[in-house]
Amino acid sequence: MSLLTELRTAIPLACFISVYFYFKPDVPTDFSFFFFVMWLCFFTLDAKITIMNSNLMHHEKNLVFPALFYKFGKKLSPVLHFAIEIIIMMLIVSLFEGRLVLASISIMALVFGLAHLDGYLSNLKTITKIAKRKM
Amino acid sequence: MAYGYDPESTLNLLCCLIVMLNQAALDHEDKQKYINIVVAAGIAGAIIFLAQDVMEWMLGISLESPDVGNIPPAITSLLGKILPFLRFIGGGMIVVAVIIAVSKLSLAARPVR
Repeated sequence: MSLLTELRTAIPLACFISVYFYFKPDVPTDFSFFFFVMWLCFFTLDAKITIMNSNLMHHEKNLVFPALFYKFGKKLSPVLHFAIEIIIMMLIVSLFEGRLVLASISIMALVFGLAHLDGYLSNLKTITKIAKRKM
Repeated sequence: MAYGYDPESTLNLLCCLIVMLNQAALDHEDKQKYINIVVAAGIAGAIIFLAQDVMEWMLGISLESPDVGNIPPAITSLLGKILPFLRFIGGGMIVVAVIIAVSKLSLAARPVR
């Protein structure tokens, strides 16, 4: 079941978030900026490979993106998904802290960025596997 | 070579069809199971996250204030330690559901619907 593979990466990331909010260490502003850039890069990579292989969209495990893709097309859907991610990051930070803190949002950005990196790498593997199966 | 009904090829065709139908049913079932688990994790996380607020609302007390009525202090101090910790576990579960269902864009090797 693919869910187990998903959990293998999602649980450590969620534990990281919980531990961060429990101890709340100080995050330097430079690091925060770097985390946001990382998230942006990995999001772009992940969205690019997904849209480039839009013929495989029915294989997509994400529950939101395919719906956005079919409704708004390949140009608007990544922008909307990006906006949804920003809102979710803010919601999670305000749930834990009761207010919006830039350092905490940057940590969320780091975690989401790592999730996108994992998504990108697994997509590469899956696309190769599907291409081999078709040959 | 006989023309007409060939039981062996019909059986093969039937076997293929059954395998295909089974595969399709399993894929659909997997997708539904996948959605159910993710949604359940999100809801469970939210319940655990809100456990302290719900308990305080139901009991009509504040576990953070020293005056908690006729509830033994040992119980309130225990709850006061456990419930804030549960908030982080519930929050973690919500984050897991969000990462799997919303954030990560990953493909499954086998069709999931």
